[in-house]
Amino acid sequence: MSFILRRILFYIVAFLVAASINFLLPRLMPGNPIDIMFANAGNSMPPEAKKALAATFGFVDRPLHEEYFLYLKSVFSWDFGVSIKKYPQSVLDVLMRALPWTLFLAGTSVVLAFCIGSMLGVYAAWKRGGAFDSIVSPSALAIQSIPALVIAITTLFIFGVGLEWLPTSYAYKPSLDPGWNWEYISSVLYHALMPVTTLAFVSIGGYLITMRNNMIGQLGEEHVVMGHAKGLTDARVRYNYAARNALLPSMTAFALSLGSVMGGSLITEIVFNYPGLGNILFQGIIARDYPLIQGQLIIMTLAMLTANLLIDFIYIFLDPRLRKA
Amino acid sequence: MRKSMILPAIASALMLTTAGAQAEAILTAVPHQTTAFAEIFNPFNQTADQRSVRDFMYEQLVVFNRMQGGKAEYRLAESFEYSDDLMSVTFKIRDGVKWSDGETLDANDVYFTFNLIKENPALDIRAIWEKLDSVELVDDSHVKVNYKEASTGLIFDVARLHTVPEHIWSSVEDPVSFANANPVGSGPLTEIRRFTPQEYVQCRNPNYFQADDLKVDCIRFPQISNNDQALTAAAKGELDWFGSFLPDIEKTYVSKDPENHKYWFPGGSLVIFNLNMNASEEGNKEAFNDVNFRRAFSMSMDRQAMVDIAGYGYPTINQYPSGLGRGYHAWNNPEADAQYGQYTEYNVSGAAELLAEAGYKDTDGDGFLETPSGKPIAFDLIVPNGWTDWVNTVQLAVEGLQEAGVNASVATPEAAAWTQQLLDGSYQGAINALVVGVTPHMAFNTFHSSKAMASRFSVTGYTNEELDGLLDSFFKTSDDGEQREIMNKVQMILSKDMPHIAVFNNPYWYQYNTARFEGFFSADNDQAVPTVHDGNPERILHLLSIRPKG
Amino acid sequence: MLKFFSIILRNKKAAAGMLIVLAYIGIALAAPLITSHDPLKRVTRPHQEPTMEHVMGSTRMGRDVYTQFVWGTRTSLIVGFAAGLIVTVIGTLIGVTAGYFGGWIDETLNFITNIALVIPQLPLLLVLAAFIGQSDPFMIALIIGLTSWAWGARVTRAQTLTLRKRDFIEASEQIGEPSWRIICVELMPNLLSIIGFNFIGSVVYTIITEATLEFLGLGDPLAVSWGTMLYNAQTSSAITVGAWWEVFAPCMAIVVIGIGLSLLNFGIDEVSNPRLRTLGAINKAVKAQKKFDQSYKSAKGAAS
Repeated sequence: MSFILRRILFYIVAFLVAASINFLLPRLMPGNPIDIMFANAGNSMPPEAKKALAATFGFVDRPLHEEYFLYLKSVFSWDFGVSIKKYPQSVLDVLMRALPWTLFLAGTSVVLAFCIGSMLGVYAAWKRGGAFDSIVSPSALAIQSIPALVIAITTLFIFGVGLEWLPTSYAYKPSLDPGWNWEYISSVLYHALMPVTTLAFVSIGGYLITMRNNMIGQLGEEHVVMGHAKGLTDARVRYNYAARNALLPSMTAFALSLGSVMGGSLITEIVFNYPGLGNILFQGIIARDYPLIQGQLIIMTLAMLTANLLIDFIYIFLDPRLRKA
Repeated sequence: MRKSMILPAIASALMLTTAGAQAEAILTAVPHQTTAFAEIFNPFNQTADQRSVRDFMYEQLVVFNRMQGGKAEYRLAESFEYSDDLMSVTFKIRDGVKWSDGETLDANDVYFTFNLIKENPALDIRAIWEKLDSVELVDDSHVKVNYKEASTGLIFDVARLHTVPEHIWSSVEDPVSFANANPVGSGPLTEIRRFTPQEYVQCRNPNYFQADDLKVDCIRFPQISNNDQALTAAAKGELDWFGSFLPDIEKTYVSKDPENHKYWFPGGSLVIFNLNMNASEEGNKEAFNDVNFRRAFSMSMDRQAMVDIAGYGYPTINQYPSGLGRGYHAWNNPEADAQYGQYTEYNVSGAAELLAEAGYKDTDGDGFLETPSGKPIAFDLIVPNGWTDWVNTVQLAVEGLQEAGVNASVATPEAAAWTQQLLDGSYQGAINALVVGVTPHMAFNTFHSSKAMASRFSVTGYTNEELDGLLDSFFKTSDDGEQREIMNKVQMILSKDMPHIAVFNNPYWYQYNTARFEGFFSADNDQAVPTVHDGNPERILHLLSIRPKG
Repeated sequence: MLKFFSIILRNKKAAAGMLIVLAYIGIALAAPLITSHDPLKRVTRPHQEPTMEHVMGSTRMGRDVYTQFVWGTRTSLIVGFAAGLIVTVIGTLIGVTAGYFGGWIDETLNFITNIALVIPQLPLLLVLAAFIGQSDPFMIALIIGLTSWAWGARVTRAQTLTLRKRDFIEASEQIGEPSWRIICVELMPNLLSIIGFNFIGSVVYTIITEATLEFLGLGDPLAVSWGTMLYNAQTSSAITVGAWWEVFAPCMAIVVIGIGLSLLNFGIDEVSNPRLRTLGAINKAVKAQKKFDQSYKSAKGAAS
């Protein structure tokens, strides 16, 4: 149990650090969001009106440390202020509307990639040196080094623009109303096909390679050799003995890759006009929507930490030694 | 067998839907690119993504049609009248107008709205209360607006007030952050029939005062977040009225359905180069303050290439030495062209000669010219990062300047930093755009000494007392001939001094599709500025002229 | 050192990877020789298909894609290697220090590393790039370098911890060798493969990330690099108007260098960890064993 407690404590400190960075970064940015808001509006706004608006957005002259404590207080009370670009909606509203889509996109693709990649990795390791291994493993390696950006652009233009097989934007057909009916759900799946595949494709190679290498390591271990000696079936040895242990380092890789999945989903969302957090963050940066950017990074960090915590639990499940430690 | 039974069923279902579509005319329009819609229908909100609230949901008092020389098109006001001293204007509000909930709209609502934006400066998006003294409610159909100074120009801002219903807004606690989720309006389309973050449909006001002229029952607003997406939807013929930057428009849009896919790009805002006459570097300052240098700058501009290559041929070239622009050709003073027209012709060798004559030499042998007093000239032309057509324009400008021996380069700060540098006067040179108004006065008035450094439009540091006087007198008269005389003189001064270098007019972005609707404005039917964008007050006139086909 | 390379190059994958990387370095170095003009110069009409004169076609602005590709290679490689260097130096320093000295130093450094690992990278980079404003490629290299060292530090630390317990290190300590000598002479050579792995991985990561940032419009649009090529292609809707060549060149450039560097990395990994070998090696070993067994058997048979 103390393992979990220690981890939770760590995540809290990590969150604090992230929150502090979030506070400092936007404040170092050049330009005043109120000026930018009206930079292209084409009218000359009087200073008083600007000041009035600035106050509405919480930009008041206070010493930095006071602003900092006010900020921390509001972060922990789950209040990220009002979005400038989406005024008068609150940052939380804007983000919460986008969050499910990102979770759906990143979650589906990461699980898909992990399962498919690991299965293939186990198989490649089992038959190492064979035809499957010698073709799949190097290709996995090649695929792993292709960025999400290139895959997203390529699939968008081949299947979306060129062949017109798949939709090039939206999370579902705009004329549908969200609801638990087949028409809506199928539309969501249809629209998610390209972004999910893109994202899964990017990370599948990494899982394959990690799993394969771990597996090869495991296959040489004594208990696996023992299993064979006891006359157990191949499949039993492969999955119960070797794969289970090989999964542990794979899980670490999984946890570490979450950050890049989040980055990948950001690009994918922008390219496919998917209504998730990435799209929102990008728009926020362009509009210099300070509160939105801050809230965004906080939410993304939180998502990362939660995912890591979940993985810690899975770890305990897979490795009983930790339960006592 | 089964297949043959299903097909007729589908066919009849399809017929039903098409029959429904015929009964109701639903137009698809894209006034704004955004990532998601949210239910905000506050007409004073500057940032929300629903750009169908002003004009379509809340009517203005009067629209001054820029393409018809500022002709007044009466909306909520039936007429207006100046006092003799031009110190006040009285609006007569239309009789019998009702709000969409059936309540009567009269002068009380207008009076209430004027005061609402006075008490909440954040709502005063056109900053009219800077110039207003007071507003009086004369009777149920008359509102009198008192100015601080005599003016015939202020009405262009005042008449754009979007009146809101007193019986609703008087009980709103904070009108600045009020979302107005259940709008009650005076415009043609007030009912939100369907709302999702990806699409919303805004339908007919049951009590619209001009219901007979309104042939469009609903407008569907799909969420479109970038030009590529707009292009995809447009090419499929899904959009009826929109205005996006579409590359190679003939090929990517028109050719998909040449019968119906059409566009019209009349000249809009004035794109200019600003040179900072108060630049902190001595050499730059000396050069920028020398009219010969500014003329040589202008002659180094390959305006045609800027229009054709950077702008895809969409902008309108601007070779008026004063920077007047094609849209105001009716105001043009031919004498200015005759005397100074040579300085807006692309002529790099001429520019080099002019500089040499004026004493600019390469004294330190770095391949670039120094000022007559021997100081180095080296400056950045700043352009907002991401404004691709402008970035390309500035690159073309720098190509020409370097050829003429001037050490200019491109810098691309973020839009925010660009604005900041213009405003605090720390820039050297910049590309900029001036908003154009009903008359050329609006763009030229940026040189008025009272405006200096007040906004990003007035940042050159150039002032001229004679010019101030002329600009001041322009709206002190309501006589056409007198105004024309003043504008001729203004043009002569600006052509002679060339305080900014105009290159082209940005297009008004406007595309349309005649497959389902007709009556769109076009080059042959140029009734008004045709864009669907928020900020084009004439779009209400356009909406009323669109009707379903057949 | 030479021996190290020759061992690595005996691995087929590493050799192929090396060849690709060398080709790129060649292009980057020879840029002024194999192009005839400034990459930003307008040389032909907009969006011309590839021809003999312009082998990769032209961009919307009428610039030669081939020239841009060549000069872009130079930028992207310099950025990649610069950031890779920063990442490796910081990562190795922190990893070795933490792993070798242990105690509170380890606790602190490891804590910082773990925090850096859980803060989402790309969003942070986007915000940083945006706040710096005009981020030229070198600024991007710097911020990537300064924010991406955590993974390398973690791996290096783990390896150092294992090595620390080895006899030869403990022996050196007991005879009183100074720490710096142990680290530089005893530890470093044994960390080389992991440092190399870290470096190459960071180069790939930087090249991809730089292209991504620039594609999103957060870079300097006047720089010539693969990312800005993609950005310019995107802003002129190159694919939609059928000018696939404008997108194809930078995409392929990124993909191929990525593959090359990864092959090299994979090769190094296999060399330092022979059990991972796939292709020839194991088969060869198995065949050799069989052959040996047979000849042994036949020899035995003959003897008896």
